[in-house]
Parts: sequence; C-alpha cells; structure tokens
Amino acid sequence: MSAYGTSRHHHPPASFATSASVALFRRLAWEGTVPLEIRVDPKELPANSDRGLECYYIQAPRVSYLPLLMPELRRFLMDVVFDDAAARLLKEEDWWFESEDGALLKWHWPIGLIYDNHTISASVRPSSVASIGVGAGAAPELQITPLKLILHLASPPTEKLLLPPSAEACKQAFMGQLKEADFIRWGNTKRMTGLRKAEQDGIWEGIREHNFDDYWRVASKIVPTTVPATRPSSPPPSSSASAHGRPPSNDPQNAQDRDGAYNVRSVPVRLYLPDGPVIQDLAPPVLEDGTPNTLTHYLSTHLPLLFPLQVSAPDLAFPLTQGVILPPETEMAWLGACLAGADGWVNVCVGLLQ
Amino acid sequence: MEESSLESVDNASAAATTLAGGVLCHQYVVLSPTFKVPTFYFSVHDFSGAPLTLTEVLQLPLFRRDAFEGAQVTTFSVQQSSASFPLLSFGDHPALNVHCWYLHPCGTSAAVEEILDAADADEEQRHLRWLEAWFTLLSSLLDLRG
Repeated sequence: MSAYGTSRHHHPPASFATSASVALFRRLAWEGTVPLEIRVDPKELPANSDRGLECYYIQAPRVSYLPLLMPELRRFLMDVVFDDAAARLLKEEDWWFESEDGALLKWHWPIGLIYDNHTISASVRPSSVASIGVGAGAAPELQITPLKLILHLASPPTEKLLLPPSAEACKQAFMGQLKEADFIRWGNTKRMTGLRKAEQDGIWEGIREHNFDDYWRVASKIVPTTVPATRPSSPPPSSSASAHGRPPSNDPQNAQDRDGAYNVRSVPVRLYLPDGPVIQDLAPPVLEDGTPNTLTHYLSTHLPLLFPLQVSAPDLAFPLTQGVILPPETEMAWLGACLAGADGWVNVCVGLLQ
Repeated sequence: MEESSLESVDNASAAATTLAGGVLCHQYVVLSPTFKVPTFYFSVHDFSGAPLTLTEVLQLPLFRRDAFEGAQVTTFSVQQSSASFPLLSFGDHPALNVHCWYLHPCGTSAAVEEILDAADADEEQRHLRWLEAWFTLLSSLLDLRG
C-alpha cells in the first residue's frame, strides 16, 4: 500500500462513479457479514443441558444489531440446549452480551462496528491472534477470526449497562443516528422528517428483515449519491472529476448535484481509536482549494502523528471501514455515499500496525 | 452546578449528587458533537450499582412534575408524539465511554436565541448569557437544586 503522503499532482478520479458502481458498493456494504461465536454463560445453563452444544456460530450482517439476533438465539437455545421446562423460563428482556475479555458490549452499535472496533483493539495487544501483519505488498493483512461473545440470560449486576438490549431500543438508536447524519449533511433534518411514518418504519424493517431493496427504497431519499439523478452519457473522467470539485453552477446537470454527496456541509463520519474515544468532527466533502477531501487529508488533520504527511514516514496505522482497509486517496464524499453504515455514518476504525 | 462550567461552553462537567432515597446521579453538560450545543447527559444508579429503569428515573425529584406531560414513555425514551426527536433518549456520552440518558439538544439553539432576544443580551458577555439562558431552559424540565 502506498504511504500516506499526500500527493497534490493527481487525484485518481473516484468521482466518475457510475450509478452502477455506487449500487455495487452499497450492495457490498449491505451484504457484508462478520463471524460471531456466541456462548451462553456456563453458569447459567441448567444442570441437564447438553454442555457440548452451548456455542452458536453465526455470520451476522454488519448492518444488523445484536438484539435482532436474539429470536434466532432463542430458537437455538430452545431446540438444542434447554429442555422444555427451562426454555419456558427464558426471558429475553433479561439477556445481555459481554465480550470475551469481560467488556460490556455496545449492543446499540451496528454489529459491523462492534467487530471492527474489536479488530483495532486487538491490534494494540502485542500477542493477540488478530494482530495485523504487513504483507508482501506492504498492505496490512487482516485475520478474520470469530468475535467471541458471552450471552447472559440473567439480569446484569454491573453499573455500566444502562438499559437491557431490545429491538425497540435499537430501532430508536438507529433512527436517531439517521437523523443526526441528516443534520450533519445539511444543517437540518428535513429529509428525515419529510419521510412518511410508513417509510420511517419501512427503513427499520429493511434492517430487521435484512432486505436491501426495502432499506434503499427509503434510504435513497436521504442518502446522497455521487451521481446526478440523470446522466445522459458518461463524460470522460478528467472533466467529471473537476465538475465535482466545482461549486454548483447554473448548469442544469449540476442543479441535480445540489443534493449530491459533494454538496453536503459535512460527511457524517466518526473516527474510532483502539479502546479509546470516538472522534467526531467536520469532514467537508470539498476542501478550500476545490479539491475533494480525501481520507489522507482527513486522517492527517485529526491524527497527524499516526498519519503524517511526509511521504518517507513508515506506516504506523491503518483505517478500517466495513472491514476493509481503505486506500488513502478515497474521497470522503464517496465514502458517505457508498460505504456508510445503514445508520448513515461512515465509521473509520483506526488500528495500529505491528 | 459548579461555577467552572459557566466559563466555557466546551467543558464537560460532572457533578455526582446523592438524592434522597439512596440513588447516585451523575450529571454532565457536554457539547453535542453533532448539534454543537450544550447537552445534558445523566445516569442514575442505586447504591448496589444497578441502574434505575427509566420509569424510576422520571419519578426522581430531579424532574419537575409537569416536565414530560403528555409525552409517551417507553423503557428507553420519552417522546412527544408530534416531535421528530425524543425529548429524552439514551446514547453514548461524547467524551467518556459510558452509556447515558440525555435530553435531546436539537431544539436548544432556537429556544436559547428566543430567550436572548427577549433579554436584549449584552454582546460582550454573549457566551455567558448564552449558557445562563441554556440553564434557564433546562430548569423548565429539571430541578437542579437537589
């Protein structure tokens, strides 16, 4: 992978994305899954349950939420682990999740974010299984290992869990994040509040049922795209790259770009550090000199020591979004249009290289 | 509230107060990274460390009796049916790694500006006046003297 040095001489024209490639990346992000290994706390298994079977493996959608997996977990526990008497006592409202190292899980986070956050936390532990080696082409190699979770079936004693996991609470968290993302982009939430109730419910149903078309039927009204609504022919890359860099003009084609990804006030993006704070700050799609804001620029602005601009500096860290290590020249506006999570936010998790 | 919290809108200030009936309440004033206004975050636990349910939280003397009149209360939010955002919701504290309840900040800016316009605020002390107006607004929902 190229070093994180900035290169003013040439920006690869990511902005000539066609509607087909936008749809492709949105589909890829939607279909992304992560491996989970969910084990019931052995202390909470009834005496007569089959001990060998208490682990449940699932390839969970990145855009889904842990409480949405609970019905499936319940069926597994009822069919395989518990007998009828014990199964009748299962109360999902008492369930909660813990990570292998004893940390409470943020069940209101999308599963993909929980996983990527776990990956970067592991990257700072020297002897962890998920350490990130630098491969032959100097690109960091990620080992995909199951995220091990413990499912507790009884009320948590700890003071950190404010609220037990539930699908309804997740829906509210999800809708709240969508509205915040809308506000970040435009300074108001008109696009979200302009949705009918059926549409607002429908977008969450798309998550619950994991249905791409149901989700995007509504999301396409609020998530900006890098492609104008009508594009009779694809202009050559160099001119379209500059067209996206220019502010909107009276050109009728540019009028449709007004709601486009390059015209937002700021791209909704958050930066996660290993075991650390979440950084949220403005990420304008276009810089003051008219060039598109890139990941390099964004990272070197907010984390200058981890992502220095000098070309000669060795790579210290890597940015992870949707489980993918992003190329430094990725445009922030493109990320917002194509690789955001289902809640509207681009989550960039920063891990350290060994 | 601590005096220091009036000096800068950006400070996160925490005050742990013990309320009658044996609960521990952590209160924070934090700048919302999205809405760029101060936001009131809080959490309430009993002395065994267990968090109170939202219903129990709303019964605390912290809230004025009519604070959420007509609003719908669930286990995780308080919402007026006509509003697009819940009045009270749960979320991540922007700076600390904790889960908190918070009063939604999206209507804050407009409401504070109304108060300031009416009071004919002195430009020099605008930040201080802004924060005082914010606390005035907050005290329509909360009794912070406890």
